[in-house]
Amino acid sequence: MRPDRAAVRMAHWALLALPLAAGCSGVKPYPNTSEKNAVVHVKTDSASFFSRRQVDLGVYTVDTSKCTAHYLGNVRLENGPLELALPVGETVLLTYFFSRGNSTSAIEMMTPTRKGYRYEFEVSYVENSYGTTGVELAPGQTRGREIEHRRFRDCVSK
Amino acid sequence: MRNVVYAVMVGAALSGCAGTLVSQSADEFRERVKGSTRFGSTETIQVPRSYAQVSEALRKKANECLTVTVVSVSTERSGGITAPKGSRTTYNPTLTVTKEGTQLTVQAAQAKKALQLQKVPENGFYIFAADAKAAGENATALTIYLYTVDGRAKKIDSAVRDWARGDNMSCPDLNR
Repeated sequence: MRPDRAAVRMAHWALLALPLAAGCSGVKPYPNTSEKNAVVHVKTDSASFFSRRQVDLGVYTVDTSKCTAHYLGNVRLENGPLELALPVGETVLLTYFFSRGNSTSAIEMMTPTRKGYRYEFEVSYVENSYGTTGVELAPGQTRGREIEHRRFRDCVSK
Repeated sequence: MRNVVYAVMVGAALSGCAGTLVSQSADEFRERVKGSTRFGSTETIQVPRSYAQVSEALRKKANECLTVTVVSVSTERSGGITAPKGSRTTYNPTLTVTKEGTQLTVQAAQAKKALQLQKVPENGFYIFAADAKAAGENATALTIYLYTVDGRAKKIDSAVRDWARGDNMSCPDLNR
């Protein structure tokens, strides 16, 4: 296993263990400080204390020619919209972690990001279902390209 | 230990006591499910939607919802010591579209391969398959092959039926 791939898997494991660590983990917060070019709309219900649902987002950049990834940090997703600053001119890997009880499911999306474009994501974790969709919007457009669900593990070096 | 039990159960369940217990291909899985009433079920349902609609729904939702990794952590007590124990399962859907129809299969790959009594396919154990075929202008026949012992396979089964009918397009929560 290449070191970067191993690092990504370690980061995945750390994030997947988040709900178990109950806020005591040392997971790196995503530095959401640049110009905001994305918005994540989140819909989740709190359920009961013991079956509390939680959604986290891990952000990485990927070098698709070598299939290596660089972990940037994670964001806790709460109800409502969240403005996000995604790196521009890179391939970005977004990993959504849906957690309930002692179990976490991870769904991944990968997309190249372009200057001037906007990225809109819908994330939901309600009752017995979760899901995420995303679109890329060209400047001034209201309809965009649907962002594919692609896993890092399926990346093939060019 | 749970992985071993899982491997043996999947294999034995769908084996018919043949030499190789674990299905090595989707076709083999279908045949074994057909021949097993205790651990597998096969059903064909008629969906009142065009084949094109059903095929597109399966393609879109399989990619969106079934390319998922699930991690569970529990505690295990052994020799007076309680220790955390984790499991990781990666689900791998495969969609094949031909002139004859659309075939969706789902495999479940366990992270730990401590002891494998039988060869496990690269993408994991086959747990689910669905074949869609046109059955008229606005009707599609959907045949489901399900490994009934796996709770998550049942959730996938329920979701695939919903997607085919266009009823509920959400992803099944595969957390336990």
